[in-house]
Amino acid sequence: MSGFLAYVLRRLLAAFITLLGVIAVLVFTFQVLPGNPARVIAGPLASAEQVEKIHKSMGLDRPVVVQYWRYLEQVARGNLGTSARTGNSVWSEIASRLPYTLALAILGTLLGVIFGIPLGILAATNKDRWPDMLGSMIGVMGISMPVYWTGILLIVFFGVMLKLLPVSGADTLASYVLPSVTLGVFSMAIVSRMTRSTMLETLDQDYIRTVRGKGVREIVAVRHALHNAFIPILTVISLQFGTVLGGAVLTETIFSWPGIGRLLITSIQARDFPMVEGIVLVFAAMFILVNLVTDLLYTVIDPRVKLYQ
Amino acid sequence: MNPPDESRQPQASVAAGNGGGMGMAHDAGAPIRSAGLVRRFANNKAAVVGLVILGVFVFLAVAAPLLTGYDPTNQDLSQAFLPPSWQHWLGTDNLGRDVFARIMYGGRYTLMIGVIAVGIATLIGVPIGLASGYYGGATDMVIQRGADILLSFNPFLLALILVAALGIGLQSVTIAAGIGVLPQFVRIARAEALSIRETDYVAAAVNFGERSAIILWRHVLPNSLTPIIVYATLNIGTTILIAAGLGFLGLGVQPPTPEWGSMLGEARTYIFHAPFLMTFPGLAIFLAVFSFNLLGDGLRDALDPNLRD
Repeated sequence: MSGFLAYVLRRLLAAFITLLGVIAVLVFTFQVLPGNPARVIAGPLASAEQVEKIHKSMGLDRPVVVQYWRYLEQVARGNLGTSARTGNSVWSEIASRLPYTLALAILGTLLGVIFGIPLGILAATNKDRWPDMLGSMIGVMGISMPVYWTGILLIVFFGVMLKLLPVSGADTLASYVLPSVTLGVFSMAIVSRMTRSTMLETLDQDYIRTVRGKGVREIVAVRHALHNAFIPILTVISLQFGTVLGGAVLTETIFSWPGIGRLLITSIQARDFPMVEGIVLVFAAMFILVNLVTDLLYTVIDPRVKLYQ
Repeated sequence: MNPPDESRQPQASVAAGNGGGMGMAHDAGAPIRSAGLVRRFANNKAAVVGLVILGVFVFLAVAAPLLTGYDPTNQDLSQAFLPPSWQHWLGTDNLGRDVFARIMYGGRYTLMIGVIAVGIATLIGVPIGLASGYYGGATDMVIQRGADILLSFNPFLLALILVAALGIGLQSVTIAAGIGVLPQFVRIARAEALSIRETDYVAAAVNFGERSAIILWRHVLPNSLTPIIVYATLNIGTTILIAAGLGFLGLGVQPPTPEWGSMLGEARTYIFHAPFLMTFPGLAIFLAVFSFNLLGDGLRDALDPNLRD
């Protein structure tokens, strides 16, 4: 078990280093931004001296490396800075909205898994027959649909024409339906494509041929294959979580969803850089965390994977 | 968005893994046999459909001035919100501009952004990835940690913060979309180089005392082209989705330029008043991305049957 512990520690360290890199990219990127955050905070009526004063007090006149170090110190203390637009703590604004974004991302992923995996299996087990053609077509169409268009179509159809479901906000359970479906369509397409190709590869393996040769029912062979195809499918589910988070930014904007994705867009438009940095950092950290957990899950699920040896 | 389809990374990496075997099969730098290639491609109905759709879009974009008398930016408020008719095939928008003319001219921007963005990602990402895989060791480690960092943003978010930093406009959107997908190109090229490095012809070249740069150029690059071409084609769809997503949010190509994403963003304001306005730009984005995805899948199957799902 000590080998496993060492592996966990190594993965944690790698995730931590990636996070440091993410913060470096953020600080360096926003250093070259054309707008001046101090000017935004000071307001349109402030004099040049006042702006200069705020500029200095925020440390914006310091070298980038110093700014990076200061930001790291701040983050280590659990402080993501102060919003240039509202003056509130960035973390408190994010924390109050994060549950909405997470709920949306998890529901979208769940829908993707629930529909995507069976669709992929159906296609793989009927290779080159109509269920495969249909399944593959749904897959390609799903990854080609812009989520912002899917969302608008759903709004027009279910909200405007049929008046069945709410099209904005997150006040009732019913308001979760359209945004989750919007994200779920894309997620389903990715998961079904990957499930199909992994299953095809696995169904072609010798041990599946052996199982089939024993004359078992096809469902038994498929079950064997699925067991072994699970790891790559799990990888895709975890990788597409990042994609779903990116999709959430647009979905939230379309459905006026009170999550951090919509806050990110309004903050970019208002040039509220501390808020933008904070939100992007949280998005990246979530992605790193999900991948870390997936990596560790491998070793638990699949006895063949001994990454830590 | 939709972006940012990270799912393709593992999918393509799986493909890239198989591609390594193929790399060994033919001589260094051997041209891809083209006779069977055209036949295999032509037999793939989905791929031919993709090629036809793309051909129509390219034709409309190039021949736009010959096909319509309407100026895509010419406003006429007395003609605003006209539904589709013989005079205006796809209707007119809030400023009385002909939507069909805007879609045709808009194709120029959307297709160009997609192709150039992928060009940027390929030209920068592939050499870095090949070098990373070929040299290995510390070079590989540093480059891969860098790719990890960029990957944890996810392509759409990465493009979003780059646009925030570079400013809004055609040029920065193209660069942002290209850099958004760049880390995946590094990964794909690295996977290829890793397997080609182990082949006999590379070992022979090393024994003959050829310089590493020459080996990379003459042997590793030509043999890794197949998966890279497939991956690049699929990613044109992704970069189109990213760029149009930015346009939709008002952070991309700016009005009155008829870019599909920004057209969709403008149409969203009139979703209750004139729902037909958001139908056509959305459909255009979907069909363009769909055509590149069908084409990419078809190319994968035709160029290398080993990569087939």
